[in-house]
Amino acid sequence: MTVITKVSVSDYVSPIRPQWCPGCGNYVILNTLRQVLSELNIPPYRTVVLGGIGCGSRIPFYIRSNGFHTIHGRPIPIALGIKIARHDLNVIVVAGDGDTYGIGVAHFIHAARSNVGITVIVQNNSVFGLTRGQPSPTAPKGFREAYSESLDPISLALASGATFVARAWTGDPRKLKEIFTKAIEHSYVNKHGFSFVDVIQLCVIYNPTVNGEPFMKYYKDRVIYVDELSDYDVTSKSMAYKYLSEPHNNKIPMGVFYHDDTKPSLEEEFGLYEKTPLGLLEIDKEGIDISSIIETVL
Amino acid sequence: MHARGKKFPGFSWVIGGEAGYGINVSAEIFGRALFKSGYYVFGYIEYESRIRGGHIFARIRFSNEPVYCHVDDTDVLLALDDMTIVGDKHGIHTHGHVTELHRNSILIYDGELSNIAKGYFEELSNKGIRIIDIPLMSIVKETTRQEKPNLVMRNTVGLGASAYILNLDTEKLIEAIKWRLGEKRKEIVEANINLILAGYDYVKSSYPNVKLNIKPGSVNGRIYVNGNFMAMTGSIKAGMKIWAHYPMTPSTPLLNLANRFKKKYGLVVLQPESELAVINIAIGAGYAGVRAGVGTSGGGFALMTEAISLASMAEIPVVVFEVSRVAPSTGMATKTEQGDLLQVVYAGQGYTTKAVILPGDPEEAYYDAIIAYNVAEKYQIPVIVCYDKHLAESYYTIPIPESNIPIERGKITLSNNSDGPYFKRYAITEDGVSPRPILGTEGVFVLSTGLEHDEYGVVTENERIRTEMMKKRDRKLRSLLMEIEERKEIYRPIMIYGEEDSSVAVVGWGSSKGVLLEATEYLNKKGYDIKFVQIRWAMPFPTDTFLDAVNDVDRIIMVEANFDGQMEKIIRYETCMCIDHRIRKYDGRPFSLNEIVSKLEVILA
Repeated sequence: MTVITKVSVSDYVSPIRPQWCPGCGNYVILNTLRQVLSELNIPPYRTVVLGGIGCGSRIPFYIRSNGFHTIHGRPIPIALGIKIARHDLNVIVVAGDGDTYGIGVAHFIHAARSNVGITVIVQNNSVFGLTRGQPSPTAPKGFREAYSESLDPISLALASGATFVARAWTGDPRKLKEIFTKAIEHSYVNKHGFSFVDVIQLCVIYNPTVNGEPFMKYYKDRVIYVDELSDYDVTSKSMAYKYLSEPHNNKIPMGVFYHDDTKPSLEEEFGLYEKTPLGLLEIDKEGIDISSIIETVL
Repeated sequence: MHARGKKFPGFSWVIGGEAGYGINVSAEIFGRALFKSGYYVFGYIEYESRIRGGHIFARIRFSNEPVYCHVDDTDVLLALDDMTIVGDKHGIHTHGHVTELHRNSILIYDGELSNIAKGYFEELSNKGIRIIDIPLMSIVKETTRQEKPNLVMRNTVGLGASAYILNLDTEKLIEAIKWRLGEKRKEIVEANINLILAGYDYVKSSYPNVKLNIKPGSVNGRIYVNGNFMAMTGSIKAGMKIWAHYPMTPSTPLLNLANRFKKKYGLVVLQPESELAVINIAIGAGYAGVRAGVGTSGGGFALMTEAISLASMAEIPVVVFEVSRVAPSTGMATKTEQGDLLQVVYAGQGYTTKAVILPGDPEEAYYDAIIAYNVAEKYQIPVIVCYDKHLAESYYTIPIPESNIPIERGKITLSNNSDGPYFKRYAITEDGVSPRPILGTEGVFVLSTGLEHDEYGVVTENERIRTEMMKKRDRKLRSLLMEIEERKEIYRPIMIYGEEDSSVAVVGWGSSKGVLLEATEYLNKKGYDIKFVQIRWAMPFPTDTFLDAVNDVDRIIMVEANFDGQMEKIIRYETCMCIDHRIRKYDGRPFSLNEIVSKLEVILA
């Protein structure tokens, strides 16, 4: 056993400076994630952070852990492959709304369905920043060139069978930290499976305001955290749907909408926890004995 | 209608009927029974992309000497419906197999079910074709005592009838049925045994003299298997632990086989939402140190292309089995073509480094699978094992493989090679290959990306580093090529069959190996002077070894089952060499022995 010494925030700090715009919500996500990982005392070498393509998806370069900056839309299946290979590692995807709800939406749905034990954090600012301001799937109809209604990722995650579904925003790092902590506890610490956090943020260049109001003011006035309401049951999916379909006094519901700790994770389904992680298995020089396969055709 | 003479060794038994009649299973059982009786068997199945109806047939060719391909002549035709005999009106499903019969061939059909006029069969009989009219359906009814028995059971009666004709011990057939259906389904096995005996006895008493005889040989130390089976067996041998696959004909049996063996070998088998997910899952597994394999066909591979390029850039091992079918697009789903070679070789944006191996029979599929996982890890590249439906699903009688290919995993390390913030995952080295640490090792941080990067995996747009990294990735392929040409006994880049100093070289690759082996052997016995040169690696292309094989010949004849001569293009591009003659086929059917021999004879005349 490795003696786990206290992990500090600085352990998760990479020497590479982010190339984000001043005031970008990505800084809040990055700093919060570093804090959460160190407070959970997870050593950085036991963590793998994956990104897709976009400004925010470069986060693997800015967190000092194992990292995989992938291709557009595909960090989730790559993370799934890593988790099946190494169920003992903490696997986190941080990707944008284009990655997760657009080009890679099928992976989001089916990874949630499979309940693989990865944490998916989505930087949701309704706009493609790096390609200079095209609408993302969560953009409201009429925003820039958006011709479709916006997609509701929370309902999608619930319908897909995600066992931890939450939303936070970058204007409230306290709650963001609480939710990130719960999400990583769900997937990695307690092995309950797939966790998902949609993080509402602004793009200082291409989407700085909401309906003409400054981002911070707009959300500060409207956000309510459902999991802090006395009559809300976070283990009830129907309650989550109710709050999503009938907003509470025109408030914007956030917080942990739903979690289910009873379903087996994909790793458990495959019986991997009892075994040496597949990625640590050695293979003899002679290879695996296949005589029992040959016997079936002798 | 014509009656051709036979010229190739062995007998050819054909069963035909609608989809849903159990043609495939019957062929598998009959082929195995022949194999277990001591014959070399080649089994070829042709089917349509449908679950019921249409026309499906299987050709089983067997002999007491090795056979590696099918022939067009049919010695015994077991026709489960009229379409099998005369075809459908417009030849959409089949033109009928009656034209394949020759003097002394035997046609087995059910006169009670057939709507073909009796005079038709009399005419065939006058041409020397022997007719067995057997009430398959009535025999099933009597034997099973069911008013509406399962149509599929007629096959079994037909198998029993064929056993009598071919002097096949019914015990061997019964064993094969038990092997295929499993001891668990006792009642079904029991019913089938009775039907075999009933079919056998019917022909014995009604047509005692209608027989074809060929003595069995010895096939000790051999197995009767298809390409997909051996590709999966090789994968498991190599230590593959994660198999991801989205079903696509003709690669799907790989998925079924992985599921069949997963418990015994501790495999995780994933069938995710798309080929996009499939390849990326495997890349994730490869990043995390697991030998992962995926199976797909042309359409699925097209979806994987972007990720293949990622695996090349991020230097992550992954193995793809690309089992081609007729293209473009979804083409003809259940038919064969060697038409995906260029797609596979040139997959990926820019200069995507990768290896492409081309097995020619199930034995090579097995060894190439092991080689693929080794090369993927040693050189940290995607490796594609590319073969077609004909090799994937045809049964060959091959020696039991005894691997002498050691497992080689390359530069896996437990120690840190860096005093910087990250492991030097892309350290510049002489052979181009950088050390690969075990993920999760204390103090080691692995950073990978599809963006251009420095030695630490950190994104960069620096022109000097970019240039160095391109050269580094290319050096890996040069190193691999050097290894292939140095360790020929393992990698077998180019195989030469026949006399080295022959004046004619027939060049082929993949599933045409079998038919070219037999065709050149047959023609050489007739006095021709031909060697068969098999290309087994498309990338990196073994230019020197290939040139050594063909430099001194007068003529090169290229044989490919595609329209545009994809290997011929590669040869031109890699060697600046022109091919003298070409034989191509792209109707979805594999080359038969008759076809290749007659085309070679025309060219060489």
